Amino acid sequence: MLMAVFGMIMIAGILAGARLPWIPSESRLRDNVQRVFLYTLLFVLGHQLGSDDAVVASLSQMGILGVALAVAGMLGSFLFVLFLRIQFEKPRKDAADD
Amino acid sequence: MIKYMLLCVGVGFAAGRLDYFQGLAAVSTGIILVCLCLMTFIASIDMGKKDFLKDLKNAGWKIIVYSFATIIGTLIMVWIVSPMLPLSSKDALVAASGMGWYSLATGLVFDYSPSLSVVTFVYCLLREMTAMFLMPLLWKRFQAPELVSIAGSAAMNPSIAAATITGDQRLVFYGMVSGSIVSVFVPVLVPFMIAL
Repeated sequence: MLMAVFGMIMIAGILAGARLPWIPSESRLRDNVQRVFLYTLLFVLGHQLGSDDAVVASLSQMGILGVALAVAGMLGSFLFVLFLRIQFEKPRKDAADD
Repeated sequence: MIKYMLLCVGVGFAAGRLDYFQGLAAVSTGIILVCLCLMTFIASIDMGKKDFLKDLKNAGWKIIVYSFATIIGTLIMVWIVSPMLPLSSKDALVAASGMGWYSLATGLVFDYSPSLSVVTFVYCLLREMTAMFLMPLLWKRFQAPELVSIAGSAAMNPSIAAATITGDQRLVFYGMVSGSIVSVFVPVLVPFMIAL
């Protein structure tokens, strides 16, 4: 459901950007507003984490396991996707060399 | 900018520990959702301005392959690492199947093992938070597919954050699509791993 909502927001934004000429291509105001939302989001996420005693206690107890799994998971997906992307790009480079 | 991002998380965490802004807890979900919606909308406008629909057509099936590779790569690496951890391979795979979707995965794992659900929560949360900082840092050396894969199913938030910093709007597109595809599999993968 949430993914559908975000999908629709994204389509609306892309169409607005592509079709509405009065919206400037570069806008400092847009960048600043974007940053304010980002900082707010990070603050609220941090607050959520810090205000939950069970989560904080669990972080200290089970944190190392979670960190180890997160590192392994991120590394595994990163390396596998990187490998695939390099494989996909190989023929193009070979063709360009010819 | 990353310094400010860390500062925001740190100040938010400290405020939460010290019970400041107690009312925030009740509305935090709404604030997060509103921030994400507005950030997505602004990022999408930039995408529309940069003729991104053309890139969308060119990306095609590869994004689906990258999304599957994100899941497979995660599970393989966790399976390899699991003998080194005080955790069975099965439990490690159960936790890793959360792929970053902490709200769902933690709940799904809780019935199986409450302590493992904590590991799952930490794993998922760290995956999202780490990706938020790693993606902009690695952006100059690597490209959107592998950067987005770091976050797993939670690719949308870090991608928007990374796009805000780097200006590379492809990250938002890859984050949306890859995050959606990986998310579809989380509700299936976690019970599957538990049933193994």
